[in-house]
Amino acid sequence: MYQTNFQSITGQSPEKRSKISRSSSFTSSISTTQHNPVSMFKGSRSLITAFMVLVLFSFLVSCESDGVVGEELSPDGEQVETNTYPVTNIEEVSDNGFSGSLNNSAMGIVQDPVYGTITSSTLMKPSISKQNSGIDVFPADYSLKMMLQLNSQKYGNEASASSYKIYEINQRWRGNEIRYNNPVSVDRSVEVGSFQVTDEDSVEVSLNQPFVDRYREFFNDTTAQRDSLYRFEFPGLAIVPEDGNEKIDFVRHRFATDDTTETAVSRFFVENEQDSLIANLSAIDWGSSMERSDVPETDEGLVLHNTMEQILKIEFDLDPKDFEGVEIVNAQLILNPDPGPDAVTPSGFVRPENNLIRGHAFPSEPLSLHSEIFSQQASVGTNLNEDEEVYSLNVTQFIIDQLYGSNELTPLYFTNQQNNGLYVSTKLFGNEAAENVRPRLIITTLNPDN
Amino acid sequence: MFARLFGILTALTLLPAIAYSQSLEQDLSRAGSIYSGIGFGMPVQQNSSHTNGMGLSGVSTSSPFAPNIANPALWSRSELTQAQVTLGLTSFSASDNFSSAENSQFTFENFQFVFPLLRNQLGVSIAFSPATRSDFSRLNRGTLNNPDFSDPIDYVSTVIGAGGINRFELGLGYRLNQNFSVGYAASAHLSTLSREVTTTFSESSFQRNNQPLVVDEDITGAGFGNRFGFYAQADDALKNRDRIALSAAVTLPVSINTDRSFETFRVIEGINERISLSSDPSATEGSIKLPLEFNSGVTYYLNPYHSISAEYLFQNWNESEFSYNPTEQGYYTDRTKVGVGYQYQPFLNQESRGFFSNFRYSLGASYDDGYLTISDQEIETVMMHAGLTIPSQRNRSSIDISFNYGVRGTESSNLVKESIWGVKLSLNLAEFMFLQQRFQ
Repeated sequence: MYQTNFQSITGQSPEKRSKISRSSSFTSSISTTQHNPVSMFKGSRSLITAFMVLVLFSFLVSCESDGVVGEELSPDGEQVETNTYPVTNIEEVSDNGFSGSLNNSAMGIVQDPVYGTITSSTLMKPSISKQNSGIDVFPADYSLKMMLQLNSQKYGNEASASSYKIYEINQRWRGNEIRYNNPVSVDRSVEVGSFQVTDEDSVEVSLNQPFVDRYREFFNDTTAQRDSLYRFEFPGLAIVPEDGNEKIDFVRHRFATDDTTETAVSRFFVENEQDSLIANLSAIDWGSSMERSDVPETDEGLVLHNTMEQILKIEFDLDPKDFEGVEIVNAQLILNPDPGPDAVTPSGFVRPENNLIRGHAFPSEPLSLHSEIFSQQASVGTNLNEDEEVYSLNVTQFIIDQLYGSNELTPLYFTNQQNNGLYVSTKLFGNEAAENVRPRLIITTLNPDN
Repeated sequence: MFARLFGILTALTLLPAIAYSQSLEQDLSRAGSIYSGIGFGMPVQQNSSHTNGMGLSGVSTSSPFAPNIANPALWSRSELTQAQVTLGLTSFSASDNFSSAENSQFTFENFQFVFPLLRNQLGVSIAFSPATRSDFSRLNRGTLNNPDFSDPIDYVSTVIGAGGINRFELGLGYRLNQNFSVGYAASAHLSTLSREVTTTFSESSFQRNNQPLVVDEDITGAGFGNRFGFYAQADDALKNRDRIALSAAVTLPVSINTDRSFETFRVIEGINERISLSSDPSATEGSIKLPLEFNSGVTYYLNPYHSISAEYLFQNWNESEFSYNPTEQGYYTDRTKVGVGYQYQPFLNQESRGFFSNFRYSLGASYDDGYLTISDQEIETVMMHAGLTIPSQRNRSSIDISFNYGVRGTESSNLVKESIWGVKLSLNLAEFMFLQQRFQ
């Protein structure tokens, strides 16, 4: 009945161990007949192997998932929500951007019923580079002419003829420093040249002999002070509009990104007695001497000039508590352009159209706003949605940095278009306008708790 | 000696494997029942490995070949040190009024280690098992309509849930006399519910670096539970060599204080940081309450080879809590499950011959009226079960393989109907351990 050495294995006598088992014929049939414990083989290899297979099973089995059901079991709450926040902290900041060394310069007079009267003169100064011109000497019998390439974009009465006179500038200036609303002084006592413009692409203007003679002296100068003397003692020319002009013409100075290879820029050139072209002389410096006056006063709307005469300073007064437990997915600043200025313009009056607004953020309050905006890349920007007539600026990252960042952020400064020498203004609806066109912030959040 | 040591090492090796299977479960097996995404997960029926083939917990079914996980009283009847681990693979074919889905899920069912302090009188059990499981994948779709958007913006949120509430249990079973046993187990319940919400928008400016927004939700917490068991048996009750066994196990409600966190990656001032969306502690604290459970059964052994079992399970889900989502808590309804099963054990009969007499065969059916009522529809489950036990020829170790097929839910009221089939594999080890060998 009991196997040898059973006690040594179990530590119990066979009688003691089987005490309970024997009391029941039912139990004994299970416990002692077939599965006598004495016969157990400790650490059965097959079962250990099976155990290991079981473990491997857990490693090897792969699961799949295909298709989705049960959308109706989703919670009732909307996980993604969009809310509109008013933007009331808006300030129009006045400044003046750089007006020189841009792609264009402006000349003319325009009386804009919305944006005021602009008087602008183009400033140009010919180069004396012998290397670039290809001539070493400017002979006395050669003439100097100005070739103005005009931008097709006009500002004002497009069909009107404009008269211009060319004078010498009588103050030192530099294209990299000159700014709008800081006009340069012009010596109007001696007229260097004059011309009229209607819708021409380019204008060729002869310059008077006394000016050419003075220029020739600098060109033919061989002293070491040649360049510095030219810079300080030869201010260049100003193309001044005659009173009565009704538009502004824009003079091209640089190739734009959308120009073709045939597109020309304004320059000077040298001709001999037979009016044959001898040399081209590029402009060494150029700019606009501009002044805006008689701006109609109004409390309505927000005006932007790409000359940075007016910049929008916007602060978002958001409470972080309003965004507790949610994640901001997207934040859009919505600005609606006011079509009013287009409605009050006289017949034939055109303005360069605005289609771009950019926002600029700075790590600290800029000392010179226009120069920082000019030199740094915009943080946000958008083109006009022409279908919806709206500017939608993605300010998501700015809002996140403002709400959760540790650095103190400056407000966002918004400018329009690029400061490229054209005069582009736009008017946006302000907070006095109808609610649906006021400046506003559309914030989309994800609430995982819903 | 070497074999015993190897057995222990194997068992120890299994523990990290079990832990890995839990992580594997979170990584891969995220496609269980869609209903497990409601609340704190779907209750996991803890069946003893030897009754899995009947689809019953085994609350009234004692076996010398496998530890019983359903009734603490039955731990008193252990003669040998036993360990068992059960793994499962379940496939779901789900459909609603709009679409269908195929999922499969690998699960770790439980691990249990039972050893006798006093042979056949006082036994101890240590077990690890999931109490609820929440493995699912779900889509939420929506459209943002705002007059300032040039076009409506569509979004799709994919919610992938994993984890559940796991139970570590330690208990004792004591045999009062030949016919009666009682048992008690204390348990620690750990909540590790996690969800990953990935939201994709049709508008690129709503994406982050063209990547969808991912928010991770975790609900963690711990609570303590108590379970009591009673077992009674009578031999030769109706006829010679028969036995009838009656039993009941009661699990008291378990309250778990939890913390919930929502985390995501957010670029702040140029630095991609993992941040918590909730900084207010009061907004993260919550509670989960597992229901009172009453599980009872009766098993009648016609003789040592044939037995019939019936079980009745009640869970008081009406009193359950899931404070984070009152809507989903409102779906909870009292659950009743009934099941019957039959087992044939020809391997116990020494006179049986033939290959098929080396196994135990199980067959069963169960009906579960569900713990959820959604849109006035009870999420019922009907299951058929079958099983095969392969006992060792040399000792009381065994392997249980069980199969089940059933249907859960309905397509009415835009709900989901699931066709479920599954296989479970249990390995039961029985060893003499902790016994002094007095002679060699």
